[in-house]
Amino acid sequence: MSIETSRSSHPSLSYADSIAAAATDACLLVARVLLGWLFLASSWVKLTNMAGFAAYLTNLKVPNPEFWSSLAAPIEFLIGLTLILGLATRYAALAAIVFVVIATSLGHRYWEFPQAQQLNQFNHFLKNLAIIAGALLVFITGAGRYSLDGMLRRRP
Amino acid sequence: MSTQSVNTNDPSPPSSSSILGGADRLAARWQDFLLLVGRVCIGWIFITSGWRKLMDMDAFIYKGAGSLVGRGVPGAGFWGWIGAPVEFFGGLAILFGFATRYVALLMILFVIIATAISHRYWEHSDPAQFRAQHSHFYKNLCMMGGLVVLFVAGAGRFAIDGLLRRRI
Repeated sequence: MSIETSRSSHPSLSYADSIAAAATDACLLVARVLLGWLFLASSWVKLTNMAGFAAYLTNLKVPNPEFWSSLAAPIEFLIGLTLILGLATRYAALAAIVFVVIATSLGHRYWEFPQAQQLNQFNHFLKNLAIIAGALLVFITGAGRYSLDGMLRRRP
Repeated sequence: MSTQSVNTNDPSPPSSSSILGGADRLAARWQDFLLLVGRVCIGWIFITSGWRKLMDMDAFIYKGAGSLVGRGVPGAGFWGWIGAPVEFFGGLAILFGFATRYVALLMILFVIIATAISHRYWEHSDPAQFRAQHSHFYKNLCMMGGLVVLFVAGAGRFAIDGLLRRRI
């Protein structure tokens, strides 16, 4: 995307623009690590306890839990890895969005939980919404220079 | 023979090799709309959680093990009254795209402090608590990543910042 380097708002609200422009690539690297880490960490929990993950899906009444658990956990891991490495980043961001939408609509239907758990589940629901937004923003910006995509980019 | 001029002002330069850059045009064409959607989704959680705190400041600061006092936060009475309004109004500012870059930095700081206070998963010995806090910890890191990208991208056209830029 074209980063707004000239002025993003009223002049007094735009003092951070030059920092954002100068640090774009470094910021995008940091952001990708922060975003991708969640997918790596939570897929690792699943991959090291596949029976537990399948039981979790069974509990959520997902059909063929064995099949879907063995598909979803590696996909989640790959999403995290590609986001951090910045490989096919825009596709990875879209995959992350689809993954989190499915995970949230299966696992964090806060309105169906008993009263005591509703607030925590509601928090997870909102956090997942914010995570979707983060992936959406990475979809917009792309990975920046410090990424495999940046290395693969054709230079004129 | 074809000559190809390089347009240096291309709003959507290729992001990767041509095979991996297939979504570039889509991203460039929709960026202002997607930035609006992203801001709503990020701002929502701060507005909701900030509002809940403001409506019951006693529970947030003083009452119970989950409150700031219960967690042993120094100067809880003072910082609680800073934190809750920052969360609520910061969320609103992100949603409406007002002073977006400043607020993105402020909210990164807010999430760092909130995570350091509430989601120290390594201190829990009960496995269920450990897992729950572990999940919140990494989700918060992930949200910080989103805020960093928002800092980089700015609010886009469909924002108060966008209006102020065009008018002045």
